[in-house]
Amino acid sequence: MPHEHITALIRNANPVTHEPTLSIDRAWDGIVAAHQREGTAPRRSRRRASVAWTHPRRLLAVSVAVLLIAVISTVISVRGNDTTPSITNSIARAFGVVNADAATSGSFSATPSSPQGFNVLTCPSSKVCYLESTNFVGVNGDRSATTAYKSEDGGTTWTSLSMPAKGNADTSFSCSSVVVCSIGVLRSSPGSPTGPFPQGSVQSMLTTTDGGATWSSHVVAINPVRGIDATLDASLVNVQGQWSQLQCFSAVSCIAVAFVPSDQPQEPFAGGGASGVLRTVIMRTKDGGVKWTSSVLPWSKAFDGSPGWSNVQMMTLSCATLSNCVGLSSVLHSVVSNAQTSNVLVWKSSDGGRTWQTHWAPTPALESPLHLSCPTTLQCYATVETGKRVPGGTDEIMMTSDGGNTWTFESPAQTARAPKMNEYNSVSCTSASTCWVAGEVLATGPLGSSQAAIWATNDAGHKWTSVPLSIKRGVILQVACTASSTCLAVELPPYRGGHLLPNGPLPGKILSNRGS
Amino acid sequence: MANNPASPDATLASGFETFFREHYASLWRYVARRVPRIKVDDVVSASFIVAWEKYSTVGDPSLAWLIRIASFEIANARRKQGREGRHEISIVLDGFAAPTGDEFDGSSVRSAMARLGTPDQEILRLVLWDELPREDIAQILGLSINAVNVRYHRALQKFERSVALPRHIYSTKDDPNAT
Repeated sequence: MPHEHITALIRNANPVTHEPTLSIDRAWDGIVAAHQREGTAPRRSRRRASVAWTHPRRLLAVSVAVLLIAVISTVISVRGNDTTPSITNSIARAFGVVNADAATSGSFSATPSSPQGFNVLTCPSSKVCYLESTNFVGVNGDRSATTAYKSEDGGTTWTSLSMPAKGNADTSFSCSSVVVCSIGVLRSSPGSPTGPFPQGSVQSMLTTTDGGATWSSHVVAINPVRGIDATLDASLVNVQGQWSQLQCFSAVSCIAVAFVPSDQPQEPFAGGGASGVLRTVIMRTKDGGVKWTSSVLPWSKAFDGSPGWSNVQMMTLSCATLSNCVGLSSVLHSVVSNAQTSNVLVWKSSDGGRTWQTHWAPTPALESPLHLSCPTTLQCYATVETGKRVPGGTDEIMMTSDGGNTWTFESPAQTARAPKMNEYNSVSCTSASTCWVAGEVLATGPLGSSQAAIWATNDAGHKWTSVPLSIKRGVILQVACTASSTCLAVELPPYRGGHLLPNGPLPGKILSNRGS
Repeated sequence: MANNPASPDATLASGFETFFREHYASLWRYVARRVPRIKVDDVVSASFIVAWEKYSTVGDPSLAWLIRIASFEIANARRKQGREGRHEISIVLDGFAAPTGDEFDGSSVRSAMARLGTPDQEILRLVLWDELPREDIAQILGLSINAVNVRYHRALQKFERSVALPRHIYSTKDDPNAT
């Protein structure tokens, strides 16, 4: 959906645009007076600075630290000389040697040319990939334009797909084979009122069974949840929900996640208008999108037992089969108005989303799942945003090997074996034990010098190994791997622009581990 | 020597005063968007005092550097408040009227923003309210510029998808301040 209306709403809601209450001269006088008072007081930092490095306690501490480092280095060295195959070689085999030069097998290299933009990859085979490429355009980069592309040579060349109808946004994209793909398209009526759920918007599903040459189109009704508040019901006329995710298993069987408006009143805010919360709806089709059955995700309480705000239960769903699905959502506490802590709720279904079991993941507050991949009914991997957005803070990987009942967590802050990245943007798994995680290592030096990174495991996350990349700086937004362990990755190079997003395409780039 | 007008200290003070006058209003508004009105001047003052102490050691003092200092002062103020800090957003929302001449009721949008996670709120505030360059936001948050762009659009998507805005907002013109 175009962002210009949303950004305009937020800009116009700026609560402080006026001048300071104090005159600048009076404020400066206050600063000078306070600075003079501060200057007369002893400074803790100065006292600490006066402690000499030759102080016996400091020497002792340094000695202990050096000794510890020596011991740890020895342990690593011994493990490295173990007779078992090294993880690096295993990962190289897992990628498949497509390059005669063994030294580069497994590494990712930039493909010569690829569509530029915020790209979303789907690779049903090692050769055939589909790409949904969105560019933010306009003065503020607030408008989006989305195009679908296809590659039949492993990402080297791309051709745009001719779609029967374009919408404001492609809301989801799923391919079940090299020729069968479905795309969710949202179209708004010209001139209709703006907002997350504008009147007259229509969700459609486009499906191709011939690799994108021809497409069928079906309108998908995603009706609001009504029947609770008559006043709010009256405002939900001609309003539809929209998809956030689509997963297809064939040309006829798909499951989708939708967010729909409801007439369940939000917890009142000071100054907030009456509105309903969003509800999450799981939708299934067995006839290629002609008919759908829908299940509203059950309302859940917050972690502390208080009523939860389901409008932020944005489920990330992954179904290993049409029946077995695992979802993760972030549920805000509602103990007090505007409380901003949240916890991760795990959803499990063995009947295609009709019924669900839930339990809380043992994550700290504030964490939010980003991306989930379940290669089997038992094994799932998820990237989790922790909110520790400072150098040294890291995202996490959540892993389960029992279908979501219990989870383990990995991050560099927790274990030395975890992928050493701060941002885990994407995870792609091709088997119960083989996964790739892509993201970014935040720089401590000059801005824009962050290191793009991809790590891989072939033993279900017990060990992770860094995968060589041809690029040194930037961000990996997504990695998509196939059963033959060939992967494509979407890289966003360092942005050197000014105040606003650049007009036209963002400089996205496709990386490949197929060799060049 | 320290009090000699021609001394390095005096030169430093003069330079810092220029820096203060250049950025005071911007920092004040940044702080006012994040803490209750009654604390704004205290936090701004504390931020400039810290900045003054560090001014001579920083190669290129900037608004982003100043805001990063202020962000720590805001965090300190919140820690001192304890649980009271959880209410700060609502206090800020209640404490300030909408922009002058704005018939559009922004309180609903601000309330909706408050339902996002703190990091998502902050990136939206920095981009759309503080209108800072991406480079500055990256410096303030300790992120790469790429990460700022990615998170900004991710936050916008969350705002779009997770919040049901009141109906009257949908029918509001794109830019109610436009003349």
